[in-house]
Amino acid sequence: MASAGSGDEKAAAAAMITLISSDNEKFEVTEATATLSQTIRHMIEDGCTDGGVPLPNVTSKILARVIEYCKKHATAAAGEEGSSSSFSDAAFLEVDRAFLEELEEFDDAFLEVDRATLFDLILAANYLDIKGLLNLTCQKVADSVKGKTPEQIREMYNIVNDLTPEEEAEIRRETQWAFE
Amino acid sequence: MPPPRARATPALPDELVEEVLLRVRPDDPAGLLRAELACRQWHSFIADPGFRRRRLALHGAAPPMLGVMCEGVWDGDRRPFARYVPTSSYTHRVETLGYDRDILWGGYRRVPKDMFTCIYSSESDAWSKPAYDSYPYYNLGWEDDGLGWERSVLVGNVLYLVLRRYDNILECDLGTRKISVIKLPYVRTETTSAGFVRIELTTMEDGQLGFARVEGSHELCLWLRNGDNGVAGWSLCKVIDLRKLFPLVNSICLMNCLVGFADGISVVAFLEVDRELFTVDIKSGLKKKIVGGCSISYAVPYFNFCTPALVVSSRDDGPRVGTSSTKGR
Repeated sequence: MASAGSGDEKAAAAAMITLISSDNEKFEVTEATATLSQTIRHMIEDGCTDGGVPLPNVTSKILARVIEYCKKHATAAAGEEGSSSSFSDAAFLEVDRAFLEELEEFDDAFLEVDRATLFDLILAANYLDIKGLLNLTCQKVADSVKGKTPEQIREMYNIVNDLTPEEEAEIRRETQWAFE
Repeated sequence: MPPPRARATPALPDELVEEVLLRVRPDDPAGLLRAELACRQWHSFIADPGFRRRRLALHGAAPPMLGVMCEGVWDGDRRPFARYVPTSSYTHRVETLGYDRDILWGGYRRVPKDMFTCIYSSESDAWSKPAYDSYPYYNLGWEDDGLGWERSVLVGNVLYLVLRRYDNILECDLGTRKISVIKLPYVRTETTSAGFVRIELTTMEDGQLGFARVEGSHELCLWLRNGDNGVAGWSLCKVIDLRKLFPLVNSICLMNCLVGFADGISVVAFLEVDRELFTVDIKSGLKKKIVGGCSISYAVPYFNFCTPALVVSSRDDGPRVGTSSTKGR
């Protein structure tokens, strides 16, 4: 899984971490990529990553996607550090802007998954404590509520309506304007 | 987009459901209310006051203004009355008129020597006993002064109220019940006195107290209070030349045009100019018309709304969110 892309060459000197999914697949990633996860960062700090980091709550399919996200955003974080320490030239700003746009495009494409995968990504981002990914995925789900009726929302989220007809009428009375 | 569903959507734990609901965009208040009808648990999340606070905090400094409650005389009417003017999809059922917790009511005795305050707590549904304090104008012999109609503001646990002479404001600590008088700085063009120029109180993002007023007939000024007490404790933070915004309007109209102010988050002043209500963004200096055909005296903005918790569910689940055991999720 560890890529030998030219961008990773500098980081290749850094320590590699092995992540082990619930179905026992091993993924080798740079420390910079892995430490986007606060959970893994703490494990590294505590020195308990020898022999790999078992992640019993994350399947290989989801872990591969999470690593894809972390790689992209770890590069972004490294790029930001580099540019802030140098003089802020217009050319640099231009590069930054282009990179941010690229990152946004990456995020949009990254979210083009079915709902079950999206929810799995939320669970994984929460478990691994990756703030950026949690925010991105939760926002995607929140945005999907827009324009939906309560019935459609229930269907989307597999929710069984446990409100009594009286309670439903009470809420509708209070929020009538939202249904007009 | 989703392919034929191979597996069911996994259930999210309570705290993640809330993370999702918190992110429903502030420009879609109706979406959040429709989500309330999904199930009892979602309703209890959204109806919780803590949820509204966290949501405002998450979406940062500037929630969109939902509408403005305007009091004034409307074309075709002779007597003034208040009307809600929507500026978003939020159209009626205005719920939040005051503050979450306490309402302070103040008054003067018939002989203005003392003043007293009573605090109403919506948590205990009861008024406190009056707390008396000396009347700031007693030695001056002013008799007909009192609290102004302008909106009061809450900073932490301290409520600030406008006095009708506009030269002082009252500071009332809701915890200790201590009342004190804060002097306002002079209008810059007059050296003799502060006062008689209408002010509107506001708070900035960091909870700093401020007020706005029109000085020298055409300058909209925003003053902020620093740590010091006394008149020296105020600094002029922003001046907007109203003649540039409204070049054809006479100065008497501009002198009296300030009718409201939106708290720090968006820093917008409400101005009534030639029977039209405008907002002026203090940061950018841009104006925007809200409504016409009226002579507005007071404008109060609405940024947030709430829906009451269900009578039934609050009995079953208690006032805390997240304790309900929702079936079928």
